[in-house]
Amino acid sequence: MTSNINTTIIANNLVTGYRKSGGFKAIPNFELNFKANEGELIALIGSNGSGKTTLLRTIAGLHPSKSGDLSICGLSPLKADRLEFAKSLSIATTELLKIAYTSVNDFVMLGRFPHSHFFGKLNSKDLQIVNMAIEETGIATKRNEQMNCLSDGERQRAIIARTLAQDTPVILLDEPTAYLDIKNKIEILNLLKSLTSKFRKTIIFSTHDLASALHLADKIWLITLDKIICKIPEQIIYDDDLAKEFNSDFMQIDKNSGNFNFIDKYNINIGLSGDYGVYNMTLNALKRIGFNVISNKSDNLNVIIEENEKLIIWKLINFNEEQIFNQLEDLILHLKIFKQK
Amino acid sequence: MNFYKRYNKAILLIVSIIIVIILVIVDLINGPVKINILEEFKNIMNSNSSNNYLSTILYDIRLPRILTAVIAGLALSVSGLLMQTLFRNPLAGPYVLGISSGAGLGVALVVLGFSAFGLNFIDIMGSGGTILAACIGSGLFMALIFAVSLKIRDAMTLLISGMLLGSAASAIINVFQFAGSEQSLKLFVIWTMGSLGSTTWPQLELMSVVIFAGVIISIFLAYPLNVWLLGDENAKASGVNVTKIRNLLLISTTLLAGSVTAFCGPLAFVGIAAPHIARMISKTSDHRFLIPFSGIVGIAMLVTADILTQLPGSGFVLPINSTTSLLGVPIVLWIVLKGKKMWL
Repeated sequence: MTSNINTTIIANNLVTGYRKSGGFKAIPNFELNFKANEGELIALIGSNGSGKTTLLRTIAGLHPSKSGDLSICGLSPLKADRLEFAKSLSIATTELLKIAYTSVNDFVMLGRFPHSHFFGKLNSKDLQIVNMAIEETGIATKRNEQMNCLSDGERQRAIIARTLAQDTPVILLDEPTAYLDIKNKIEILNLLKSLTSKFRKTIIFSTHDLASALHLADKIWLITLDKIICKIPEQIIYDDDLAKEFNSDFMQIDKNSGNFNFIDKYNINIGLSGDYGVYNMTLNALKRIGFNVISNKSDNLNVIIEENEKLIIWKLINFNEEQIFNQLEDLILHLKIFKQK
Repeated sequence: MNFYKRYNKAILLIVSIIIVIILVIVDLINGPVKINILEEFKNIMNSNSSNNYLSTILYDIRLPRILTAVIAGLALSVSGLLMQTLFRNPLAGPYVLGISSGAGLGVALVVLGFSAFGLNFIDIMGSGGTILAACIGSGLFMALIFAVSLKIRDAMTLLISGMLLGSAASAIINVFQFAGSEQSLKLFVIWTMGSLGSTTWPQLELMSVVIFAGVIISIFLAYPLNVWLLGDENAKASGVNVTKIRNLLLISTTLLAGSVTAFCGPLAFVGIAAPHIARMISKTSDHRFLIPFSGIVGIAMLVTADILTQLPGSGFVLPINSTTSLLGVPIVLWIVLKGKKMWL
């Protein structure tokens, strides 16, 4: 069934971490076993400090592992010749790129470094790959612009284009969607997805954005306190692995949909009645500022939505006191102050 | 598009070389004594009037001085460019980072230190010893600054560390000055003022050889340095042998900055300013072009500074360090004011 799919990354009992005064601190704090296949988009997930970046750097041979076996396309990251290894794996780290006076085109061309000769004269095949990388990542219109004039989203595309131009079976990206707005985030992830299926690449990216990772990645690598879990997104949700890692007093993961539900802390009951199309909006606003909204009349605090001369008004009834608001914003502001008292 | 770009760069190189040639000719003509250079060169070639004082001025004073300016300008600018890339810091340069002070310390050690034991340094070692001492001194300071830069990423802090190292070097030099003989002290003080005019033909040959070696190394580094700008990790992951390149960079900059400092004294601001002018004009960070081009800009800058030392009409000669500073300081100030936007 899986006979014609090549495995690109294999790790057995891998231990990595940092030397510390008087010993060694393993990060993540256990032996790692995982493998990745070609054509897979893998999201590396874990809370802050769980060792995502360390793991990526170890796979890329930028950080020494302490023990265990690691093989990338048959090469050992630490023992292999760096130039040879750079033909198997490319990585974009979060190092700040402080280059001005470099056009996108020149920047992407740097990806051809391991394939080119001494003075870096690129042949037509190199240029073809560079062009392909620029086209695929959708920055063709920006190819003559300087790197420091790009927006964050465009720069991220250029960075991905450079790793693509390196023409390696494995690509690692450390937080490629950090600092990006939601639209760019989804576009970048979709781009990665299309690259994995089109060019059969293995792409591993670390991210904090669970929702889009669960939605778009082929596999999730979840670093927990005691193991690394490698499963397809649906399985990881079904097995409650994410819930164990990320559920908190404020947020819960819905087992069926994989969506997140925010848990609101209620302490004061408030009644809400009336509608005129603004019931849900009012309900959400009241929940946000910490009221427990009940659809019937509550004992002492009530909001009634009414229409008065074709204008919607909010009537707040506190015992027998009655106050009228023309804007929801004013009501919420008033209730916030009320709650603090 | 690519072809057009390359064409553009060739024009830039040719134009800048022409400007340098014009500057050199202006520098040859300029001076307290009016010389018809064409005629004198003919005389020198035919060697028929070797005792003519005009050809002596031209051949033994102006020509070596200008050639020194050319070689030193090239070396300082290329070493400045390499340092800026090595540290990935726009403010790096041989003078500001205290590397020239390191060379000064080395020279002080041999010139003043030897005389403290009653030995005349120049008699024993010759100028080769000065070069060696300056190179060792600048190499050590370079390595020190580099070690600091691994801990400190901030440009300004690195700069301050370089200045502190420079002050430490001057403090030690002061101690030597107390111990040294009067004659060697005078030699050293003159050295610190910086001068292009004290190099003799044999010294010039030695200097050219050392600087040629430094420049050759830098040319071999040109392509990897483009990737180096992406950061240590990205460079390593692209297949660059980071340790090897770093060592070669240190050797090359040390040879370049060290030997210039040994012969001409600490020349301020050429190393930091010239690469920036080159980048600004060419709008590229490709070292395969920037190394030769900043070299040419460095030559133009130092030759211009040399012309300015002998303002036509006025009788006196300004120290070269004041004219290089006058040219360089505004550019450095501009880099500082541009602050975070100033990327390499």
